[in-house]
Amino acid sequence: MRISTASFQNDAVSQMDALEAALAKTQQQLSTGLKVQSAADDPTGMTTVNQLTVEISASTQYVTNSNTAQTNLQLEAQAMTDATNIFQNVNTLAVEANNSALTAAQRGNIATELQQDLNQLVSIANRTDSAGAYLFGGIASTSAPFSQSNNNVTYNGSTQVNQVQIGQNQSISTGDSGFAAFMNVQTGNGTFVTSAGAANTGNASISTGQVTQPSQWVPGNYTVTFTDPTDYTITDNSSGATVSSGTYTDGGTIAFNGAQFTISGSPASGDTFSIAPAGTTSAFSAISSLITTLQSSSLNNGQLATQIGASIQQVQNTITSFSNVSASVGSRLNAITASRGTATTNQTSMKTNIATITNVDYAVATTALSSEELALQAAQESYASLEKMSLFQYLQ
Amino acid sequence: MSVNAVTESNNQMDVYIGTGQALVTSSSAQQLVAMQNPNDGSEYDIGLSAGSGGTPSDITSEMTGGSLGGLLTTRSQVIDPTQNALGQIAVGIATLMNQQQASGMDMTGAPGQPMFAVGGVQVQPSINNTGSSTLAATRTALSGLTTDTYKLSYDGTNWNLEDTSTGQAVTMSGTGSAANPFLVAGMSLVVSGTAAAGDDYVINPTAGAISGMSVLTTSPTQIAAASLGSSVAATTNTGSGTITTPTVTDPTNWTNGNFTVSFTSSSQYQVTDASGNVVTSGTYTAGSPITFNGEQVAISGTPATGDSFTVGAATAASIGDNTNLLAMVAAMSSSSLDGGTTSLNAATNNLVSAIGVLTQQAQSNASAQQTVNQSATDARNNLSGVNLDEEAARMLQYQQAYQACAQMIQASNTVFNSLLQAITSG
Repeated sequence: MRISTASFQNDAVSQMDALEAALAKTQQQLSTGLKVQSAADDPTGMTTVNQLTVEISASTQYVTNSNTAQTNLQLEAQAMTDATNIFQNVNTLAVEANNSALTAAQRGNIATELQQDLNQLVSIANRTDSAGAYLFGGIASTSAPFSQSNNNVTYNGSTQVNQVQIGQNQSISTGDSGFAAFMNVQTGNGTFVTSAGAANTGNASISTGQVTQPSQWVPGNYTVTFTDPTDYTITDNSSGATVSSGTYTDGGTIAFNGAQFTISGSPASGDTFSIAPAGTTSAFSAISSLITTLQSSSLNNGQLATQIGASIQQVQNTITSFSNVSASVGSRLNAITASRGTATTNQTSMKTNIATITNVDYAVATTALSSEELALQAAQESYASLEKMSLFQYLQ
Repeated sequence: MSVNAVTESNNQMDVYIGTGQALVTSSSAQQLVAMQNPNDGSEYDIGLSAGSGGTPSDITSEMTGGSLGGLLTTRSQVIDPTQNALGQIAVGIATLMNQQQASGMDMTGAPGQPMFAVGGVQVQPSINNTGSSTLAATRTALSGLTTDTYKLSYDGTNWNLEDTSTGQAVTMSGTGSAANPFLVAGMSLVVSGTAAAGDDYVINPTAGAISGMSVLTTSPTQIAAASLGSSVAATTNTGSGTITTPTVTDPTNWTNGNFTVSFTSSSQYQVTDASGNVVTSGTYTAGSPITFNGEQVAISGTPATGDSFTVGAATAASIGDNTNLLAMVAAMSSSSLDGGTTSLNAATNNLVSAIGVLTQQAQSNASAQQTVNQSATDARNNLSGVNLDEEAARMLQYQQAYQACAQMIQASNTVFNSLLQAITSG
């Protein structure tokens, strides 16, 4: 068989071209560290890589969201701690005020101190985050949620709060509305509220009481009326029916319909005490009603004791309510930590997956490079030596 | 392109291209010309000139091999489909974002304005149309849009639609009038004027979207992050039920009015409008959406009998709301294309892998063709080329034969000289 010289030259050149192209590709892989340079190198692999890249960026956003939510929730937790501290002080002052030996002036001094606490509580409730958005305004984050007129504090914010996504199917609220945090404190013992009649002339006071047998309790308004200083009847306000009656003992327990409370002191004939269903009130009113009580000059000792007792109960209720809010904030902070951990772990494993698809295996690529180098060298040397093999060499 | 040459009996050669179009016959030659595609002025076809005054004949579809064939194949199988697919994604982004914008309230308290504009449906009447009809096409449903190209043609009585990407006839609903347009493939087609039989239009639902895409909103305050609606629980509620801010799902049917969701029992709710008419009612399931007035709310917790929630328009207090922004995020990952089966991400991925596969095919075709080309060249060279060693050997052979002949002459010359000398001297 005859091989034309042109063929021999062309074949040698095209083989060296192919080897050099392969070398260049391997060299590019080694220098960029990437095995898949474009979709054509591995279409299915590239699809997986794109999908993973999208998920990594979503996951990165979840972590960013988590961090923002965490900052906000930590500010809220701090605010709730500060508010609780104020109420610890209010509690101390209320207990101090609950002493019939105090003079009106002394009670007035306590009221002045309470006034400071109230103002401070309003400023906590109107705190803003670093971006100037009100922490407790709900979605109405651009205007101060609480406004104060004398001792009267009203909530003007929204009851709705924003949710942020911290995981693929996980959203949390970044805060609590001022309504949920400060305006939703239960009154009395949670079931009913006791109070002394405004026209009472005796000095008897009533405790906040409790429900001992919930199955027997019938919600409603009741009035305890002293027919004389030693006898009382309890009537259901809506039906007018007497539900219980008895003989009064100072400090003795009075029980009816599964509920019980104590009345102490000396009631006068015609004095009344009422029992009404519990509702909700604001944390501010716990302080402001105590201030009103302490500043009042028309109350007798019994009424004072009843009202200060009710205020102490209300302060306790507020502290419980605050601790419930704090617990809910704490559980959200835990959820954030957990989901951020998950997101970070997922990101690492997704990045590993991408690397498996796109990154060059240096051992494989280096081996390929040396074998291609060897092949090219062999091609060049063999070409050079064969090229010299011409009959003309010997004819000179 | 593929070229065939045929030797005639008189040793003249005729040259044919493609599938037998004569380029050179005996002493005459035709010219190849670039001619406008009758349905798409932006694309040129290959025509074979019919001499001066004649209409060139379109031979684009016959061009299969060679670099011209390669370029034409790239245009029809890679560039056009990619343009359509990219357009579909662009329409998807714009439609979903604009729809969510319309469902929300921006930072200034105004309803959200469209965020993106995209180019409309590309309609190309054939330059050969003789009637006076015009075709107006608009996109109506994102999920119905395809990446195919369509041809609407008039046969003298009816308009027929063909999907030219698949070659299938497509059934249209409607009559094509403005009142009752043809509805097909996520588009509405309105034909006006009088068409002549044989008139046709090529319709590209998405190809022009990208080139006409622009951003319409100019300020971050125009992002409609807040919901158009707001909700609030009645202060007299005794249960623990809480309500979400409403998400507007159908802004065109949403009206700015107050609705009340009230619980007739702890497990039954009803929704009444401002005049007290019951709009909808149902059994309460915590957290499941209640839909009315083009919006959705969800109530969770344990509502008590008589509890109520008011759902109305957004107020100044909703300024920090992010409900609609969350809906935008959800819309971007929703399966909204191709009949609700493909998300924007999936569409992008499909496009990338389709191009990847085509490139891979082209690369392996190229390398296969190169091998064929090289072995053919080798075979030809081996026949027509020379081997220098062989030629050198031959040359030596002839040289030696020549030298031998010269020696012969030399020898005979000597012989003759000797002979002549002998005669002269004798």
